[in-house]
Amino acid sequence: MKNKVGVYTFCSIKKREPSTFGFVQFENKQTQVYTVHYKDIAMVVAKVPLKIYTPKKENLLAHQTVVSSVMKEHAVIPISFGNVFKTEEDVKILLEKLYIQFNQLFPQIENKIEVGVKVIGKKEWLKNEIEKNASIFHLKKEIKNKPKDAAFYDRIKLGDLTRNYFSSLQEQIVSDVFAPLSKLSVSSKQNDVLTERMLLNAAFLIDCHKETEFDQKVNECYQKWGDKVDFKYSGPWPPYNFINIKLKIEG
Amino acid sequence: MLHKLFTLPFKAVIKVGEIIKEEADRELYDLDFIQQQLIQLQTLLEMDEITEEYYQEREEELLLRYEVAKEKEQEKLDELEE
Repeated sequence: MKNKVGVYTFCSIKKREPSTFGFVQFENKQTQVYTVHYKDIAMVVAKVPLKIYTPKKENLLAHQTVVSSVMKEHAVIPISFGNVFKTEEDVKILLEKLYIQFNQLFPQIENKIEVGVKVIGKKEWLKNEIEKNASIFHLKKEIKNKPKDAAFYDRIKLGDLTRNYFSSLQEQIVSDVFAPLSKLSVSSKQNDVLTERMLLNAAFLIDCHKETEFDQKVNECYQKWGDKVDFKYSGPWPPYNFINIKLKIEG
Repeated sequence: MLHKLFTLPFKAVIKVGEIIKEEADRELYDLDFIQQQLIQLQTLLEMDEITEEYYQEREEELLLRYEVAKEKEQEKLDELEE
């Protein structure tokens, strides 16, 4: 792969005429972002040294910055990070293969954005809540009074009780935060929670003209829960959670 | 379960071994899985649940695994092209 040049793909847009989107810097090398076309769809790409690009912060940021800048003018179908093709011709073949699928997707994402909402329980609040739970409280007390080996099964039980308790908190957040926000969205998705304290990890696809209404609803939820949990509200993103094209080799 | 495993014919045990190895390989070299772990690591750092030092060590390990996974993917692609 040494010294060879490849074509890095960022996202796809509906466009017939060739365009440029400024420059991207990948691992200290600056290169122009431009389009490769098949009929009326295009892939936003950059010529880069043909090598493996790891998803370290700078590289992810470079990828995301390009997608975000394209998003300002176009509806985009995001391509997952790190796909480098050998030639522009390979990219054209890919577009040809995905043409029908992409043409069905573009009207569905026109004027829509994705936003993310993560809800994370505050340490102090979670600690107090767990202490308020009678069964957990009593079992903890019992374990304390037993020798370490004798409390083995009690500890497993305590783990189960705590997990169940966290699940009930997650259900509460789903009905109080996720459900009302889902009503304002075109589509919504709950992803796996990433840490113990995370109670919700959700993505919403919303109509651009409903963005303010959605913001207000997030604020309402924050007013209700803000002293107990932290909200991480992010976006606008391209619809990563709804149509992220992952290019995988099969065979 | 353990007893059952030992009474299985040798071939079957090898098969179990292969399945376990496949599962381990999947977790080690699955690109989606590695990227998911990187996101999780980043979230833990943002939440102050891990130290910057731990983050860097783990990130380095995951990025190495990502590189190996991508190399494997490329090898597969080259095989298909041949």
